Amino acid sequence: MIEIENIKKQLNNNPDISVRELNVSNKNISLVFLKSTIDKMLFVQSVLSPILSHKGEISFDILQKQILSVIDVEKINKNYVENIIKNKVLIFIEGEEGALSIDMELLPARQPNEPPTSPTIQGPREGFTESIKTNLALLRKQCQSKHLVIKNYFVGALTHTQISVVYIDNIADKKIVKSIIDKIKKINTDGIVDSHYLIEYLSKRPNGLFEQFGTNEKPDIVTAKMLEGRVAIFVDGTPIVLTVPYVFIEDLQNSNDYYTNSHYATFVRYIRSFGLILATIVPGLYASFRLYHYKIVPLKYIITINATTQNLPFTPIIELLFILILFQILYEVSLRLPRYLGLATSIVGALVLGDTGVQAGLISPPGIIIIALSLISMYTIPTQAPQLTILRFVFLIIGGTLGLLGIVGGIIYFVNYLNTLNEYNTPYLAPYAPRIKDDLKDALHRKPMGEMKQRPKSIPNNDEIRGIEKNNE
Amino acid sequence: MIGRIKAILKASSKSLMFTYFMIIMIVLLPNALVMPSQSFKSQIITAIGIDGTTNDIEMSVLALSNISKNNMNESTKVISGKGSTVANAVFSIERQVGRSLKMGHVGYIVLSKSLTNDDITKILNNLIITTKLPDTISLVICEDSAKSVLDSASKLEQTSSYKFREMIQNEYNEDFAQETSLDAFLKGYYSPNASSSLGYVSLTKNELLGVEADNSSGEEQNPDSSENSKGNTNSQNSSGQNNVLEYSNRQSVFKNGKFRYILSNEETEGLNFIVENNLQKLITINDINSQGLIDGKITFDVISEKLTVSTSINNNKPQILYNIALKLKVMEVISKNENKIAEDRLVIDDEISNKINQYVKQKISMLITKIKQEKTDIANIYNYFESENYSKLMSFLNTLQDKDDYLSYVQVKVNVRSKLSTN
Amino acid sequence: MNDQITVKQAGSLCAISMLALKLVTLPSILYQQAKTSGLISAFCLFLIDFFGLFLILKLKQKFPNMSLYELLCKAIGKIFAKAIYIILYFFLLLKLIFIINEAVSYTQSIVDEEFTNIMFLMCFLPVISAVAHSGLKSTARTCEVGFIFVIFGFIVCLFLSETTTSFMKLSSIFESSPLKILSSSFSTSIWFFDFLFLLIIMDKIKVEKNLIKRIFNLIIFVFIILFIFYIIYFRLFRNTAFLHKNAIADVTQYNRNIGNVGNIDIISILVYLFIIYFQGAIYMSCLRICFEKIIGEINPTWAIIFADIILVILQYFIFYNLEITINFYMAYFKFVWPFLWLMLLLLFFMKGENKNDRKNKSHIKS
Repeated sequence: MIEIENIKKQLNNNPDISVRELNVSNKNISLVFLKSTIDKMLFVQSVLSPILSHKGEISFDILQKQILSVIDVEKINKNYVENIIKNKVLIFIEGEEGALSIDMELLPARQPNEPPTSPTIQGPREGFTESIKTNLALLRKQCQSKHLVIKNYFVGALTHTQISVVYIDNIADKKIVKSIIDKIKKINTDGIVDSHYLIEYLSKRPNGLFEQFGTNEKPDIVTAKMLEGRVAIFVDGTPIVLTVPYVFIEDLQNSNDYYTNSHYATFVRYIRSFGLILATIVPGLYASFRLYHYKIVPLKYIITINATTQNLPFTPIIELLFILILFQILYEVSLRLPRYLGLATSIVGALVLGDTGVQAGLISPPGIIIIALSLISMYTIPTQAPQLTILRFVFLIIGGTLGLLGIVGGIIYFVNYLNTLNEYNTPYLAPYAPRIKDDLKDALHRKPMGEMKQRPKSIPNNDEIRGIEKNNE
Repeated sequence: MIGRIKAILKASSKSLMFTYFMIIMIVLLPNALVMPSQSFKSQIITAIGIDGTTNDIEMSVLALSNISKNNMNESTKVISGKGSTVANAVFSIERQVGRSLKMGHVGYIVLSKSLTNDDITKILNNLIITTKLPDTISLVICEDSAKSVLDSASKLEQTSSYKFREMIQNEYNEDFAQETSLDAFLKGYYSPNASSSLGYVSLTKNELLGVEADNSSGEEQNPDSSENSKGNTNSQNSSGQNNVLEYSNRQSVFKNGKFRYILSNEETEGLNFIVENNLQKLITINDINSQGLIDGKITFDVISEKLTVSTSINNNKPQILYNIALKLKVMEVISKNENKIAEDRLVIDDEISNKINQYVKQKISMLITKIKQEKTDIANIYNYFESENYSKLMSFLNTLQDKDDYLSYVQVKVNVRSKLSTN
Repeated sequence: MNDQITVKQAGSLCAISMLALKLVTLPSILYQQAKTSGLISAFCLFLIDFFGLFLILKLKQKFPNMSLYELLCKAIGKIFAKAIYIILYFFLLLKLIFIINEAVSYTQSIVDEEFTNIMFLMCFLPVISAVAHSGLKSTARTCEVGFIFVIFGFIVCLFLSETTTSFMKLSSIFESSPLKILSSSFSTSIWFFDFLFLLIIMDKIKVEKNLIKRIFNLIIFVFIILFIFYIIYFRLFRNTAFLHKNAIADVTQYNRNIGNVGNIDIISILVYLFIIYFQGAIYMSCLRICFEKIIGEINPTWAIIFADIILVILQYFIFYNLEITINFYMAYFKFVWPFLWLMLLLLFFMKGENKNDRKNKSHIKS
């Protein structure tokens, strides 16, 4: 048929395009599909066999209603190529216009295992996968509500990536939903490969240092966030789900906090916030104390530091930058190295940096301790690791050039910068700035679940009180 | 070209702080990259000693130096310099070491007694106002040479775990009846009576009295420490050089910044009772014949002392009452007879109580007599009157020809109550 | 832009303003002027400040949506309103210079001896300008976040001062004559008048219930701990107060029980540095607002750059030294503040806002 020839031509006559010609009841039937992306067993059982074994008149209507044993079947008159590249099987009948489009997709996918970025000690371990259908299914499993709304969009001229905007209708703020959808519709690009591509289109400040979208890999976390009024955005091909609006305090919270004792959760959150300070400021402080502020450092520490840094060929700043860059290189190497080589690299790195460098008199133990402490502390908040890395460098330079005054100024500048972030009408540092008393029950301090009767006021929502299902009228 | 500049300006105006940060990096970072640590660039000083006379100062400093990587002990060198003023002497030392002196970690200042004939605040002026030393640093007077005290202190710190600074700075246990700090001295100096007291140290040969600075019995010496004491480290004992730091609770008294006298042991004991301090006090009473003792001698340790001071001025007669409540612990009981009562069964009966009262009052009386005689109010008696009876005090002072003589009119009463600690 | 701040944020701005100039030289000056009776001077000046704050807040309640400029235009006309804004502009500038000079002196004594004026300005001005540029809302939020740490740090500093034997008994607070107390109040008034900036941002405070009570709760708390600080200072130093011109650092250093650690100066240093940055940002925001009212619609960047340039010129060429600044202010400021009070009282006795005023307000353009 002419359409089939056109289809094959438009798809560059790729070898995985299959055309199965049948003749049933004296009519030529052609089945066109991508053989690499369909469920072959289901195709044979539910489509091919029933058609071949049919005796009698055949038409699209009869196929749809009497012959095909499939769930999704749709009559289409155009967009044949788009349907094929969406992994559908098209059935053409000679003499009839249009075609039937059947969803028989079976793409390689992995199991919803525990994601490496969000391990839990006690709690759900299912994680999202690269298949949006699986992800939506996992979400449905968690959130069995009639108010759950899923809106699908296809973005990317070449990739046609499916993006699903999901929210709970009676809770989420409609303005935010509308704003997100409008922005998605305006995206004009070749393709969206990962959800992080989307962030830069949806964000007011794509150049900003701090991201204002939450990234999650677990359905329980996404469900919890949606219950607070947030909107979730799923992207096909990536297990990372975006949630918006996003506040800074979410970085200091972890799903583990809700699956353990509330006092322990509070304690751990304070440790994380302390880790945040250690990660960003300590190298800069150390540099400034050594270069400008000997008075502030107690004498015994000066003696110890002097004893270990005497006769080093490097000045304090160069030493710290050198160790920092070495550690950063080690980190990058560990990300890219195959696992079986990782152990050897760790040993070499530890020996080179930790022992040999000190013994050779190139670097000092205090320098290593400071940088190591800073790097380790950074992973108390892994989602902000890139930002903290940059801030560490910035504060190191500020501390080395302007001293303690510069560091204090830098802290104030960055805190103020965070205060200017107001994506989707949500202050980034809420509930501390502005201070929202009710939201403090689940900020750094976590109260027991029973006491959190209201949804956070910092996240715009339509229903403040938790628990009672309101009809959205 | 102009278009390019405009484009750059426009881009930089979008993020001024980022532009500023880049400018800082370009301008200041190269300098910061090559800047050594401040403690290597400058010379940190941990102690100051001043000898000489008012117009001819010899200043010695303990300069921090690190010998080896593995040596975490504080090792110091004594460096001296001369000048007509302290500032000139500092400058002379800086020229010798080739670095500027940093005095932020000075722990103590030792002044030679030879300087105390004149107002010592003139000498300390530079250190107080210009250098702005921290208030809590100790200030002591030494009998002979401040330089030799510093030298001995340096050796002591290198060869033992004792730190002279800690010993006189009251970090763990106070050693002088009154705070012997720069600030305490200045508070007294600027008070109406202009009296203050400072600790007094000396170097002796007498090993029984103090802490030997240099153990020359074969222990490993730090070679560098000998450089500044002109090669007589190891043979100090035999050469006759004093090397024992002795500072047992002697207080020197100053008036208008000039040295007046040193308190005797009894007077110091009396001072201990009427100022609030944490000094360990012992009370030894003799001739006890009660509770089975014959000519008994009992030593008590004062666990705690509660001092309440009240003042009154009636008919221009100032009166101060010290109520002293002592909690005591029996340390030792010596008696001529063998069947003496054990320490833990001793009680404070009338005889013992009277003896204790007598003891305390006697010491206080000796002190009061001395300070009245010398018109040096180191017991802060004026301060007590000022806080409780200010207007009456002013009227009383107006009646005096010599206002400095107010102490001689003050009637001192002491009330002592003592009891044994139950522990 | 919705640049409104909450009552809590306004309260934290007021509290920080209260602390900014009171932690360094003021206790020393007070003692030198009136000895222990300096506490009475300080108390009286605090009361006057509180009364002024009360008037400003009452004014806010009376005219909830009007700015000071609109009020002045209504009372005395546009030209005089601009003249008053010019005076306020210079008042804020001089206060800011005072903060800078005190901070430079403090930094040189306590933090880094080699620190120069220029280095300080390089650190300080860009940050406060950037914070002011981002708008009053974010400035207020930043102060709100830092305020708790600052207060906590300040209380820790008080506990770090030695509390045992070194305290001398405080002499009678009526040590000096009433005339001396009055004279010292006049001379040290520049250290007060902290809440005048609230007039400039009056219209930006959200109208919430219990405005006065909530702000005063915070202010009184800060006042109490500040007063305790002064009492500790006076008891510790007394006759040597003239030597201790960095009160917060000197009080904190006065603890010899730290032992191994040494002095914990870092807490008092951080507390003070944070306070001056916040206060600088508040004043810079107010300077920007004043400038916009005086000149008219202008890019905030230019308003701030202009303020920076004027600050640098004044600080570098005229008020380059803390002593010169203090002497100048103590000599001349006492003639200025009655005028400021007059303006406040004039505004206070104006008639309240009615519906017609709300309509007319939109026609008053700066």
